[in-house]
Amino acid sequence: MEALSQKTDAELAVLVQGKNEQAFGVLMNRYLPKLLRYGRKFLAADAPIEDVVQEVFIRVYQNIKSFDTTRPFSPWIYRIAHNLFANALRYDSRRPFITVDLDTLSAHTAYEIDPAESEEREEAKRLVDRGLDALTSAYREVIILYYLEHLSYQEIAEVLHVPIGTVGIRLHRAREALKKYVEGT
Amino acid sequence: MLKEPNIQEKILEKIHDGVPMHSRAYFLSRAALVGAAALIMLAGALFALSFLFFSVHESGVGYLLEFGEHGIGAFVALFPWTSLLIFIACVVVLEMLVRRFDFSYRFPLLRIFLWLLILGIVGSTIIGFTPLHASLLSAADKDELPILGSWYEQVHDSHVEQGVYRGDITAITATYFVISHNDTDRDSDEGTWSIVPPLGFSTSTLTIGEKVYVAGQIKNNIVYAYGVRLVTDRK
Repeated sequence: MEALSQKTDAELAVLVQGKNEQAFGVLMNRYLPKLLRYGRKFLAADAPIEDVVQEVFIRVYQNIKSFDTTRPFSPWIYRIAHNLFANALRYDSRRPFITVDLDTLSAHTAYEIDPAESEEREEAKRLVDRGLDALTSAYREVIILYYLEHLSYQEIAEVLHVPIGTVGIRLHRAREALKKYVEGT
Repeated sequence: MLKEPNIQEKILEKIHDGVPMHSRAYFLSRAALVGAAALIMLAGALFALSFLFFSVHESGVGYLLEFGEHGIGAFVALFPWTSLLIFIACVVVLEMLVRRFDFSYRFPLLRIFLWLLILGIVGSTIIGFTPLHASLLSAADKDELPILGSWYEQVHDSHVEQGVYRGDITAITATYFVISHNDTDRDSDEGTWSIVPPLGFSTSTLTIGEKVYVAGQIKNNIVYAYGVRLVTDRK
């Protein structure tokens, strides 16, 4: 088990593809806290988050052979989580999930955050804690993935299946909305 | 640090209870099915749009645009909208299928839609250079095209009710000419009509046996045309 814990996600995924249950256990150890946190931030407080996360891991096990081991594992598992969380939101009228997304229609210039803007990143993190619930699901999710789960633009694009420019524009708009909300309270 | 051993146990329990791990063949066959459906939709889109181009040219509906205001109204009424709708529906379904492939999300929806539209137009234009639709029409005229036959037969309809006539010239005088249409299988659009051409149109430019396309108003079995156009056959 100790040797397994030294392996990368992709190496573990290869072992899980060969039905190695211990390797699957290590992957669960790594991603369970992250996915629970993602779910708690993304879904309503009284949503059956643990059930949905359980379902995520069941899907991971079922579909592990569709995972391309030459690619990073984290966007792949977050993609499954995103789909199931989005389904859970569709059944929750208090937090409607937008299925027709105008941001994905046309191309956007990617607003990559400059490393020099790390102060802004810290500030945004503080804003997130105060105003996340005020955002729509599309903006809330991109904020969670970037600031709390520390995924890159490219990885977020892979999770949400949107162009990278759309990730940038959503983050930009979400930060603006957060600022406005916090200033107004 | 969060630790949720209960969840892990529940997950493993469910897996032991018989959650199957899908094989690679399962995913490959699913991708192949989506790919095949996408190809069928692409073929449908190309067929519908190339038929639309063929139909507008072959039926003479395109000539109506040369007949002024009345002609434009008749063009809108006779345009093969069904083919256009089928083309758009195929492109929309095709886009949905293409988006199931991982590479597609990198591009905005509108760009993919435009690419598919351009692909459809270019592909249909290329099909237009082949004898596909002409040979299908010929088979339909001979009653040898059971499924698409009625679709193709409409290409040569006269649309008398919309004031549009087509036929072969059978007689010419200084002030009018006579056309006759007989496609042997559809009585409703067959007939013989005397055509009074619009002002400035000389019947001396016509020859017996030529095919013409005429738009006008009928009174006492005489068509007072606002547009006359010779039909050029596709080679």
